[in-house]
Formats: sequence, C-alpha cells, structure tokens
Amino acid sequence: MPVALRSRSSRKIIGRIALYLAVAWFTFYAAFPFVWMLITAFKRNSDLYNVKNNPFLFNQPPTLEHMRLLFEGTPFLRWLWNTGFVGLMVVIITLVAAVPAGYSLARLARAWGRRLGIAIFLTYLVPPTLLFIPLSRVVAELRLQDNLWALVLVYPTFTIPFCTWLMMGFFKSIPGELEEAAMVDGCTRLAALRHIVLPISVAGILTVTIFAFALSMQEFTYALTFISPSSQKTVSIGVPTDLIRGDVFYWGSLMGGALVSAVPAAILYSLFLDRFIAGLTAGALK
Amino acid sequence: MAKIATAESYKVIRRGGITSDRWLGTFMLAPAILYIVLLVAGPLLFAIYLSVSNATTGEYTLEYVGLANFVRALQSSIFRTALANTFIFTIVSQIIVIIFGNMLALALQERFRGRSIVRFLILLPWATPVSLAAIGWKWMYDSLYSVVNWMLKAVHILGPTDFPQWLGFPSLAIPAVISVHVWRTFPFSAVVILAGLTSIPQETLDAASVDGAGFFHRLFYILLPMLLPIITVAVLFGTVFTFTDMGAVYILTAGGPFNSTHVLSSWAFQVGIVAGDLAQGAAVAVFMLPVLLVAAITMLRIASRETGV
Amino acid sequence: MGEHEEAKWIRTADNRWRRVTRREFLKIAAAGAVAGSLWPYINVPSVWAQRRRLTILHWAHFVPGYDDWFDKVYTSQWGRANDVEVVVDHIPFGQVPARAAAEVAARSGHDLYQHISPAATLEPETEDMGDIIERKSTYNPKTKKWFAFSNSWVPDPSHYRKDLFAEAGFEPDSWFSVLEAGRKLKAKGVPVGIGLGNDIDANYVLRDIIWSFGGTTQNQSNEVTINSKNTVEAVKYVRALFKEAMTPEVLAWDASSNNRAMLAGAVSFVFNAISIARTSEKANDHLTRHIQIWVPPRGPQMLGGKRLGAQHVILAYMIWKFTPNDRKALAKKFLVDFINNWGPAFTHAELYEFPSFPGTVPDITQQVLNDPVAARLGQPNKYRPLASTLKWSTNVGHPGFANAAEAEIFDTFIIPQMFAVAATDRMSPEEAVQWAERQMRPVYAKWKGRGLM
Repeated sequence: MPVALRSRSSRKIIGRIALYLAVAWFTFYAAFPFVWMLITAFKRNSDLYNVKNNPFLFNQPPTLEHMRLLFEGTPFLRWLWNTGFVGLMVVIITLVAAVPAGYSLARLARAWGRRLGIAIFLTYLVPPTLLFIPLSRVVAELRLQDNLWALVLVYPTFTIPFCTWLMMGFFKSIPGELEEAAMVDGCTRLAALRHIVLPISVAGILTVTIFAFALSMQEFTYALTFISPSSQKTVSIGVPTDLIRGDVFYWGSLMGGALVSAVPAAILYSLFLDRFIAGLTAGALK
Repeated sequence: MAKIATAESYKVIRRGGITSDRWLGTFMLAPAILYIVLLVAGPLLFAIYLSVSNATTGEYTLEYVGLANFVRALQSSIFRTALANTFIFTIVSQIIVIIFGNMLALALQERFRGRSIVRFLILLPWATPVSLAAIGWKWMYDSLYSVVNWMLKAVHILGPTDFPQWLGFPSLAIPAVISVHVWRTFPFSAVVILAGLTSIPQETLDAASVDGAGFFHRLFYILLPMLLPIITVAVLFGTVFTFTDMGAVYILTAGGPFNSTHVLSSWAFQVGIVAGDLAQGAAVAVFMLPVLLVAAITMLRIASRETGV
Repeated sequence: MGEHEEAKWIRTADNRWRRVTRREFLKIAAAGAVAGSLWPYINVPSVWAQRRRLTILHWAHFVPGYDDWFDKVYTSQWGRANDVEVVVDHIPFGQVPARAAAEVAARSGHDLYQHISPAATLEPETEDMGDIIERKSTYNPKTKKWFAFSNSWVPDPSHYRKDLFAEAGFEPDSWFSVLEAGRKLKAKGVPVGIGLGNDIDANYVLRDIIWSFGGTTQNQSNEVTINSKNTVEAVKYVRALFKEAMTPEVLAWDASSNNRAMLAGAVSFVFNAISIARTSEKANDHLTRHIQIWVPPRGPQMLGGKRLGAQHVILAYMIWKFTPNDRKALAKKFLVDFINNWGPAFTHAELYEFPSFPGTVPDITQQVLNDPVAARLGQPNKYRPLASTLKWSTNVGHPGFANAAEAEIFDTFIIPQMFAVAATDRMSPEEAVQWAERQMRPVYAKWKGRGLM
C-alpha cells in the first residue's frame, strides 16, 4: 500500500515536472523572437552591431531612438489604425456573408449542403500569388486602387470560405429541436434564428470574428500590390517599406514595429481564447 | 450532444415550409456564393487561362500555347527543387506541428501558475503579420549576429569558433525555414486541439484513469483516436498555410543559397512577377492546386466521417 | 585605349540608349540648351477646370533625406509652379516589379513609375519616351523604342579596409591582389566578402568578375556567350577566393549583410553602393576612417585586364500606355523639368546616384572631390574613385542591352548559383558554366519568341 502510494505521488511529481518543462519549452519557442525584438528595439546601434557583446545585455544605456524613428519618422500609428479598420470591416462583411450561409448549409440545404460546404471551403485554398493579378483589375475597375477599401473588398475572399464552413459545423451542433419548438409555436424560421439560435451561437461567431481578423492582419501580397500611398498602408507592408532602405535595415525600428503590432492582437486573442475554443469545439467537429 | 434535425422532423413541423425553406436557404447562401464566384472563381479561371497563354507582365495579348509553360517548368531544375521543397517543408513542418500542438494542448489543459501569461505568449506568433515575423527570424539567423548561434554557444552545443550559416547551406536553410513554419502554425494547432480536448467528456477520461491506465496508454488508446478528426482539421490548416506560403522563404532566404530553398509559390512569384514571365509563373502556381485539392478533400472526409455525421 | 572605348560604350548602353544619341544629348544638356528646346513639342493645355494631379511611384531611397526633399520640397515647388498637385508614393525596392505587374494588369496606376532596373519586359505597355530625348538630337534611333527614361543610376564601387590592406602589403587594384591580400587577411579573421547568395549585390559583383576576366553573358546580338574559357577562369577564381580568402557566410548573404559585416569590422573587402561608407560616417567610429572606396579591381592582364563594374541600380521612369494623354504629357513635362534641374537631386542623394546625363550636374567632379561629410571627417579623398565612375560602369547585359532575357537571368539568380555551386564543389567550374548555359538558352529562346528581343 505505501509503496503504491509513493509511486503514485512520485508519478504525479514527474508528471508535473514534465508539464512545466513542456510549457517552458513551448513558451520559449513561441515567445523568444519577441524577447529578441524587444532587446533589439531598445539597443543602441553601436551596442547592437558589436559581435563581441553579449546580445542579451545592454552594454550601453538603452535608447528610445528606434522607437522615435518608428513613431515619428513613419506614420506607424496610422498603419495600426488602418490595420484595425480593415480587420473590423472584413469581420463585418465576413459575418454578414458567412453566418447566414453557414446556417443555410446546416439546416436548409440538406442533401447537397455538405458537398457545397466542402466546395466553398476549397476556394480558401487558392493562393494569393495566383489571384492578385486578375484581382488588381477588379480593384481598378471599382476605382478602389490605392484605397483601404480595396483590401476590405478582397480579404473576405479568403475569410468567407473558412468561416462559412466553420459556422456550418457550429449550427449543426445546435439541436434542431430548439428552433422546431419555436416554429411550432408560430415563429417564422428567421425569427427563430434571431431569437433562439443566434444568442446561443456567440462562441461560434466570436471564433469566426477572431479568425477573420487574424487572417486579414497577416495578409501581405494584396496589401502590397493594391496599396502604395503611405497613409493607406497596413502594418504588414508599411513597416518593411519605410524601415528597409535599399540595403540598409533599420533593425531596431523594424523589430519595434513587429512587437508593437503583435502585442495588442495577442492580448485580444488571449482574452477571448476560451470563447474561441468553445466555438471551435462545436464548429470544427461537425 | 448534437442531434441533427432530420428531413422527417421538418416535414412533421410544417408541410408547406419546405419550399419557403428552399427559397430562404438560397437567399441566405447568396451573398457568400456571389462573393466567391465573382472574386475567387472568376479570377481563378483567368489565372488558369494565363498558365496556358504567353502572357507577360507587360503584354496581355493572349495566345493559347497549350501546355508549353508546364513543360518548360518541368524542364527547369530549379522548379523541380521547388516542387520537392514544397512537399518537404509542408510534410516535415506539419508532423512537428502535430506533435508540438498535441503536447502543448495537453499541457495547457492542466491548471498551473502563470497559465494566462503562457497563453498570451503562445498566441504571439499567430498575432504577428507574417512579413514582420519572417524579418524577425531573419535577424535571428543573421550571418554575423545570429542570436541563435550565440545561445547555442552559451550552452556549449557549439564550440567557441563555430558559427553555422543558417541561411547559407541547404542542409541548414531548409531546417531554418521549417522552424519558422512550425513556429507560425503550432500555436494555432494547439488551440484547435485544445478545443477538441475540451469536447471529450471528463467521464471518459476519469473512467480510463480509474482503470489504472497510464498516461501514454490513455494518450494513444483513448485521447488520440478521439482527437483524430480535430487534429485533421488542424493539420489541414497548417498544410494550407505552409503549402501556399511565400513569405517565409521569400524573406528568409529569397530562395537561396543557390536556389535550393525555393517553394512553388516563391518560384512562381520570382519567375512570373519579378522576371515578368506571367504565363510561366501562373503555370508554376497552378501546380499547387491539384495537390491542395486532394489533400483538402481527404482531410475533410476524415474530419467528418470520424464524427459520424 | 581599351578603357576609353569602354567609356564611350558605357555612357550609352543602359536602357538601350544608343551611344551617339546619348552623346549628342549630353552636349546639348551641357550647353544649357535643353530647358528651352525640348519642351515646346509637347503641349499641355494651360487652362484646367480643376487642379491637376500627377502621381509618381518611387522606391524607398537609400537616403531618407532624399525622399523628404523630393516628396516635400522639389515636387511641391514644381507643383506650385505648374498648378499641379503632385503625389509621391513609395514601395520597397524588392517589390517594385510586383506593383508594376499589378498596375499593368489593372490598366491603371501611377503616372510616372520608377523602376530600379530597366524592366525591359514591360516594354509593350509603356509609352515611347523618344520625344523627350530625341527632338533636338541629330541622330535617329531607327525604330528603337525608348520605353523608359533614366535620369540616374547608382555606381557600384568596392569598399576596402585601407589599414588592413596596407598591413598585408596590397592595394585592391586587381582581382589577383584581392585574393593575395585576402589569404593573409582571412588568417587574421577579416576575410574578403563577395556575396554568393540570392541577392542583388552578388548578382552585380559576380558579373563584374566575369567581365574583368574577359567573359560575357551575352553578346551584342543577344546570343548567350557565357560558356567560354574566360567565364570558367572567373569561376575558378571565385572558387579559390571562396576557399582561401572568404568564409561560408557569403553564401547566406542578402543585400544588407555586406554592409553589416564591413561595419562590424568582420570583412576587409566588399562591393556595394556607397551605403557602407555613408552608414559608417553616421556612426563615426574607429572604422570610419579606415573604410575606403575604390574602383573595381582589374582582371588578369593575360585575359585583357579589364576594369568593369555593374551599374548597381538604374533608376528608370516609365509612363504606362493606358495613362490618359493629358497626364502622359504632364508626366513628361515633369521629367523634362526634373532632369533640367537635377543638380539638387544629385546633392540630396549624397553621391549615391549619378546622372544619366552628366551635363545636368556641371560641377559633378567638384562635388565628388569635395564631399562635405568626408571632408569634415578628415577623408577628403574618400569618394575620389567615383569621379571616374563613367569609365568603369556598365549595364547588366554588357556588351549587349539590358534585355528581357538578361533580366530574367538576373532575377532568378542563375549567375550567383553558377558561382556558388562551383565554389562549394557541387560541380566543377566547367560543369557549372555549362549548367548556367543550359538555364540561359531556353530563356533567350522564349523572350525572342515573344518578339521583345
């Protein structure tokens, strides 16, 4: 008996150690580049570009010069704002298109619903490298060239397919009886959708929101080829444009820009992570 | 938990509802379908047409040239390298991502001190625009100031005079690119798998635990089989991200050293856009489609069959 | 003299501009006759219902101050004088072709699009610039279309550590002495740094070496000539340089790496635009006074002993065909005015850029010899080698034109790959050169088939 106990508790300790080691390794792997960005962003060039220095120590006092260049020498705040704006608009369009479509595929389309769902999902696979040439014509015809709205128009092409598929799964996980009961009581289907289904779909909608925002923040090819005025750029193209000058990289400011744009988004995502997971659990499994 | 309304149950409720449902269904589906047809399908067909034409970035007087661009692509040794790399990068990085994603998800499921901070830090890679993240990694693998090398020296994995050139030899540059792909995609996979873990009823796990099943037994015989569909979803995403991504390679190595790290999308961009042979570039990019199609359909099948829908 | 011949050719070769035309033009420009004489042939209606707009796309310049001056001072002055609102947008140099492709596909874009290379593939969609160059010249450039207008280009000199080379007892005046010095300096931990990776600097300097050894990538009739004894010798030379005077880091280099390595004191000899010297002056540390600019080294005497360097960046403006006529005219007026007042641009570009029409900067030699920053830091002669840059600079594709096939070979890094596979013993020098020829021939055939060459 005591032997078994000891082995159980020692097993528990080993398990705990393994847990902490695993967490430590993954956190290190994920976050180390940001630590390095943070150090780079505040180091003097003469300290940074000295091979003999310990890269983790501030051998000379830290400097705000790189951050000053980032915030005062470039319209960085404007780019952050643009990124947020495009993300938000893309989320709205995505929701307007994907939520009804997902519901339709889950409940109304029936026989061909799944096949159509897969077909819609597959359009997500078409790489931007292939699409930006034809799309640039579309953007020009709509007179949206060099305008943030070009991105608002184009980004849903890759958010809608996935989000529709996800919402379809999510709606399938909600028991149909809920609406049926309401409809027997005389509700129309749309009213049932609005008053019964949507309120319990918050997690799914949130998942789609975060996913659409994250994807639109990541995008590079379209932003690069459709937008050239500095005032209309997003973070993902503004930072590399203004801080790589011919063959000179402004490493401190570049790393600062990457860090400052990643942190708020990561905070946002981690706040909603539980909801996101709940949404995925229901949505991706069906 | 989820019970799907069958066709019968609709009929029982409203006899006349089916036709109106059909209209409603079409109506609700219309915005998404319209968007996709107009802005994806149309341009995609045009892009495919480019691949069998002789278009250049400066000339769109399209002439049909059949499969000439595909033949020429296949004749190039750089293209063949790029094709192989695309598979190598995707498969290797996704195998690592499955392992890491599972381990991390299992760890995050536990309660421990600092869990919320860890969750925040883990999400950082996913929150960084890929163009900026790749520049960050480029800086870490720098030929002169590589902090990776500095750390490896500090823990004596490298000798004091060693300084491996991560982006200078294919044998190191390929792992370097893969490390970035893994870094970008494993946090998302972990979150997806975590979602799958939370859906496994606690009773199932408790029952297994009471039976005295060890951790690994539980992992391989209970958890993983139940997680298979969601892992497939995670892998599907990782595959799409990695297979079509150009940024990591383009920013990190520009395809070098000696064009040994190109992937299809970076090579398509280099030939089709930078060098101006649009038709050739489109042909290279079109090579990605059948592979993605097969992979996606297979994985979606697995994902849905396993859940019994 | 060989060098003189080169000089004449060099002045004319970029952007397909014929030698005579260019020279004629230089004379006119130098005489100050351009301003009045070129313009009257392009009419811009002077009364407009609303304020006109002119949009210009530029790369993000090496010198942030240049962009400030161009965006905020020059264009706004010009705009006020002509009642035009001028808008200048910037994109990074690596992305210039992608945006151009998108504008052509969209059939809409900037009125003036600035490339950093001649971008010959875009020719069918560009406006002929002949009218703003050719009018007053007596030469008729046959049917050659002038698809772009280059106002300036960037020399690509060598940078070396004067102190270290002096210690080793060498001047980097020939590639042979670079190798000799490099052997000694590598032992001291400061090797030579000639990039062998997929990067633009490697693409230029490796061509310099081929030319200095008497080889060429193509001839004047657009035929592939890479497979020659001379190229093999050049490849052998670089293999020796790689093994004896360099470290493997050059395989991993991008365009910015040689800057950092030189500034860190980690290498003793590199090739680049003058950004290294300029950055070093800003830091003004113990290395600044040891970093010296130098002309490209000579090749071996027995192979002709040539001294040639590639034009690093050729800034070339294009006007799209699909741009409305009134804006085309406005854009051309802007270019003519700009080139006639290019003097301040030269100064603001801090010697990075040299004029395609030297007459536009009459005191160019004086400015090069009296660079204020170099003088202040006690190195008045630092930029002297640039004074002769016209003599030793030539275009990619030399002795032929910078055509579409050369551009594709350049953009797909075939030449660096050829050198790198030989340097790392993956192929023998002969095999590497044959491999490069096999890659190049179909590209030439393809572009000839498309009627661009």
